[in-house]
Amino acid sequence: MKSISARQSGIIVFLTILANKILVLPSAMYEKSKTDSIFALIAIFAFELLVLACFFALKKAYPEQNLKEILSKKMGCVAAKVIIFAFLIFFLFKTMLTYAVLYVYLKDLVYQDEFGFLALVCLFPVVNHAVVCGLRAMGRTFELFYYIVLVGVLFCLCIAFFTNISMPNFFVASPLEIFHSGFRHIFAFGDYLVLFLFIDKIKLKKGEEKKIFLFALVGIILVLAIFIIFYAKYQVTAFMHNNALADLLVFSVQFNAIGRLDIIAMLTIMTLGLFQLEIFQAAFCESFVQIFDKLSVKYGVIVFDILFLVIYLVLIKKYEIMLSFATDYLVYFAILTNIVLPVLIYVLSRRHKKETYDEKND
Amino acid sequence: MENNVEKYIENLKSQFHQNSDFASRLFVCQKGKIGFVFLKSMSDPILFSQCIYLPIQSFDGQITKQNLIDKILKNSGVETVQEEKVFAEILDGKVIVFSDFFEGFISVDITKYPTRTPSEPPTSPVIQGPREGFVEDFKTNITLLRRRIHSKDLVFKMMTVGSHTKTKVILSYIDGVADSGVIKELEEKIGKIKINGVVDSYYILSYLEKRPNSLFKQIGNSEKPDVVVSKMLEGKVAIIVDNSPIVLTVPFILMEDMQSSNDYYTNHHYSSVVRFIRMCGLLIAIVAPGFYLALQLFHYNILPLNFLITIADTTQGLPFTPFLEILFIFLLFQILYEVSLRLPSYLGLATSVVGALILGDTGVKAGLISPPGVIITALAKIALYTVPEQQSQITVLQIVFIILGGSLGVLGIVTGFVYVVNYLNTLDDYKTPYLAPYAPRVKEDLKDALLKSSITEKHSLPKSFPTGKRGAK
Amino acid sequence: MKKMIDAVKKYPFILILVLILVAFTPYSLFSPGQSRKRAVVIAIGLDKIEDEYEISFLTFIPSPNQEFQQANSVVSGKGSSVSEAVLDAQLTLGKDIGLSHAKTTVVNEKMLEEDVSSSLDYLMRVVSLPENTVFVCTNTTAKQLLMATNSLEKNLGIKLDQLVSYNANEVYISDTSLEAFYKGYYSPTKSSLIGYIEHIKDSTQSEQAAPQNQSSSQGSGDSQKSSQTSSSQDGQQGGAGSSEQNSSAGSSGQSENEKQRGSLQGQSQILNKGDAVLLRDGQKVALLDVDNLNSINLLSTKRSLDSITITDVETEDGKNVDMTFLVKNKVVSVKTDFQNNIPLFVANINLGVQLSEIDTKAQKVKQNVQNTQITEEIAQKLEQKIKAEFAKVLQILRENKADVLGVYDHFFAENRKEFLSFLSSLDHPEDFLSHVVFMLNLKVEQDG
Repeated sequence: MKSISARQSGIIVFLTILANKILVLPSAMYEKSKTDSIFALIAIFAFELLVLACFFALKKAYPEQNLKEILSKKMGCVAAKVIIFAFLIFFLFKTMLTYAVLYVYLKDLVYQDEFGFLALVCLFPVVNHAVVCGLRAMGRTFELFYYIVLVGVLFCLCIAFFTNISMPNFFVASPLEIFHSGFRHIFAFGDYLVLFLFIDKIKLKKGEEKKIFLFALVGIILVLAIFIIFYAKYQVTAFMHNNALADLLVFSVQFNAIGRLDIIAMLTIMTLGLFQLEIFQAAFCESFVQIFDKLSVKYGVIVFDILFLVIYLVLIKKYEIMLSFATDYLVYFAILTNIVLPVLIYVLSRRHKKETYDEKND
Repeated sequence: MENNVEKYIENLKSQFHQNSDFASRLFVCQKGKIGFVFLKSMSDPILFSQCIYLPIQSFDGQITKQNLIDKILKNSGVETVQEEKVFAEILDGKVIVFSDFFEGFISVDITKYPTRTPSEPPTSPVIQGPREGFVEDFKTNITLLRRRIHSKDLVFKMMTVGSHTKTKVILSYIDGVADSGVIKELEEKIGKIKINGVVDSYYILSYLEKRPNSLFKQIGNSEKPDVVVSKMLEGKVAIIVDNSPIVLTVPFILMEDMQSSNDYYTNHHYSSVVRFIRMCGLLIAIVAPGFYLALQLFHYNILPLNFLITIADTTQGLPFTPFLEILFIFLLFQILYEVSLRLPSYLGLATSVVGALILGDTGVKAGLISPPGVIITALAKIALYTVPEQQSQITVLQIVFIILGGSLGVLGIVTGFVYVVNYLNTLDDYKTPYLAPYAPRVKEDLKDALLKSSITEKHSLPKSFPTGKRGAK
Repeated sequence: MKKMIDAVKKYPFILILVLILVAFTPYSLFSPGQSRKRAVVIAIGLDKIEDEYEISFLTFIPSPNQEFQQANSVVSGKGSSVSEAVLDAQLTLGKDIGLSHAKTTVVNEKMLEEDVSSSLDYLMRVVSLPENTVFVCTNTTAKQLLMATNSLEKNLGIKLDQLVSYNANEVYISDTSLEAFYKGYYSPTKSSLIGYIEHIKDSTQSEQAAPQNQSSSQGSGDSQKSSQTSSSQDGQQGGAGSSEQNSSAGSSGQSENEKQRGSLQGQSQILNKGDAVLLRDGQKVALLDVDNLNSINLLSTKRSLDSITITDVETEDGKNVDMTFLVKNKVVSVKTDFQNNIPLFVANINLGVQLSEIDTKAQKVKQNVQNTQITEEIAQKLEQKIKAEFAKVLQILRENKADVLGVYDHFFAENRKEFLSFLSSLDHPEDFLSHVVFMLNLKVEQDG
């Protein structure tokens, strides 16, 4: 089996943590809970680190099996397929949301209205090709681009940091507002769920959990830094800026001296967006393959493309509807996938541990 | 064979289609007749007289097969051969000695054919360092390698490929340093090659690649023995093909083409800088024209105003659209390049004058092409030669990225780039990741990747590709 | 056919890629560059004349030349709303407008009589006007100012955005961008400051305007920073003759309509005094002069081009002179507190000043500028002067309920609870500035 290393898994985690959080989310959350969105963010990240710990426990208990095999053992094949189907739906909409967020950015700042939503279809072959090439090739690609993406994000942050910013006021929203803000945007999270689906493909030597944890930490710190600097820079007008990472560069002093620096943000966001699409679609296809064990990834890719086009053309049509669909309806589904399922899986792994412990004692 | 020496010679002659370079001699002694057969074009007639014919003529004792081998023929390359090998030996330039009074055949090596002396290869000149290059003759090439590796573990395994050409293909490696799996795989692949003839090592290369239809080369090559030796010391296998000065090396990683032999003969800090520049050159070569086109067609908003003014002013009166303009200039440069390759060298200067001055300058003045377009395309074309080994691949990629940038803007370029990298990551011939040591990251091999550390820090065998167990100590 | 199907099966993604390229490439192949498709706008003017909006664009006109000099022209459109005006201007241009390179947005005073944010909102949201464009107001019309700027730039190389940016960095010590305006607009105090460029249009007395054409210091109150710049080309050449001042760049290609709109008769001057408009709720409430701005900047940690002139200072030989000091060093610390439920805003300011000039009033004075030490009397006079100026500006701000001093933010950050209960106790919370007690602890010292 073509597996990926701990470092590559860590980079996948890093990329998923940044997914959907560095463009629309800062301004969207600001509308509900102002600068205190940071606290909602910290709370969700803290919980998600527990989910990561669940994953490590599960991996330790079942080093070689995939999610379906693990769940089938404990709950039976049908229940396992139902759970994986939940993941499939989650990643279908997650990929669509990522497409929508990327589209907003491309339309507003890059192509200036000369870009139709269907132009995003041009990303299909690249994303599909990557998914079919497999996780190993994808992991290697991410590994190659990791530092480039990291430098790109840090560059945007540094440029923004050295321009006119002032520390924003915190504790301006009520706990209820903070909770509401976090709750409404929970669909943008669920960053470690991909790991559960690829559990059998991750080669984790003893002690390498730390590596993944460190990458997750880097991602979390970067997202928090983007939020804080963005709020520090724009403060009350934060809600007007829908493309946080790109908007960080807009007021740089260096602008006039060496030209428009937003090309750096542009390349970083495009690369990040593309990678995130690849990861989420790969997760979708992995769920698909685990549900329909006789079909290959290629079918998963084709099914995804058809579903995407049908859902877009028939149901959604506008990216704004997709975004509001995510905040209004998918939230409840995301609670199931982001919170309930990892906890359930963790409980199962504990039970397995107990059983093996009892067997040993017998 | 007895009483049939003349007949056998006639038979051989007819089998060689009465070739004009087919030569035969007959020596009659008391015991009987001795026949000599060789090809004049492949063997040295003087050597034949001095080392074979005259010694036999002046030999006082009894001429027997054993005496011929041990006492008479004063040549190191004397051996007995079976009848089925006679043709191959003759074709190799050896003299076949046979007689009616002894069984079997003796082959004497007096091969001599015109060969080139090793000189500095035009494709990879060095400022400092060895200037020898491989030649077309495989024996010389073996000598060039042997001279550099005085080790009993240096192995040359010869195989023959090509039903007509019977070209010699020699696998060369250091036993224990090269991976036995790779050697075995290569032997199998070469053994399975079914081809009429091998004219150059490229013919073999295509058979060794897992994806021969791929744009990207998956086998390394070099014209310099010092480069090949250093690769063999890292655990790679060299494949020498007779009649080709290009020696192939397996396994191959892309980073090899980023390295030049010059890097190893100068200060490593300087080498690191140069490699970084080479990398930038590669990126510029691939992306620059497409990126320029994307800026003009889709992203005028990220151009600084002064640059935008320059572009707007210079492209204002052009008859071409930006896309057609870049394609036109690209085509112009490519034609000039092809012409300069094929023209005799004394006409090269004239071509560059016509190309650079007349076509470029007058094209701009006539308002057919814009100066920024010419600069960007010329820059990309020149930058291409920072990595000359990848010249053909980059040229194709340039066209692809021009189309992507022109059709979809920067998004097209980014997606195209990710697509290419993803594809490269699927290439793992001989268990070697193509983009190692960066994807996957092989920490130990980063010492000699884009940044080069001192030669004193390089101790162990690389880990990016499979090697044997014995490395440098 | 079978081979083709096999190839498609083998490389389906390449096929999709090729299909997509086939769909997009032909369009791009014959599409002109965006610099040809769009009019690159460098500055925008927004005027309200009676009930009609007029939008003017200072656009760059590409011309095939090898000198790469910028040739601009002003094109305008009118309509009952900003969007209609933009469409009208686009009709005149025959191109879409591209606002990505816009560096300046000018509005006339009438635009500021009512909330300007809704008009700007359209430009920012729909036609992508960058938020970092410099935002200024002018007394005549934005269109006339743009025209004057155009010719000023052509003749003297002075750019409006540079002029305003200089003010923003050195005089106002604050950003005057659209973003800064919105920051103020959406802040709890709803107040912001934008630059003010006076434009003097003299269509009847062009000859009289000629002697003023050079960049010169002109007395405008006590200010030494006002500069008046003529934009007349004729003025440049000595002021003789005609008064046609509008840019003629690209005029041969201009439509009749554009010519009518684009031309302006008359000599005109741009007067940059460093003034600023105080806005509340997006409406103009007061015009602040450079002294007012200096007082506002007193609380800023950044140093502006402050100079303080005190009159009737007695010298060693007992004569009265005027002295001008330059603020060379400034240390500011601000504290907020509540005493008996009264908000207290305490600013400790240490100024390091240097005597720059002595106006001897035609007397023979022995005093040497370089050796003059700041005596207690001088320090006292300086403090008095600064406090008086601050009181003046504070009065203006209190009258207009506009907090551009950052008082709200300081209280909110340091004494949030008390401050919020204090605000809720007020009948008119927006008038909180009137209830805040200001304490300026000034210390003036010789710099160096």
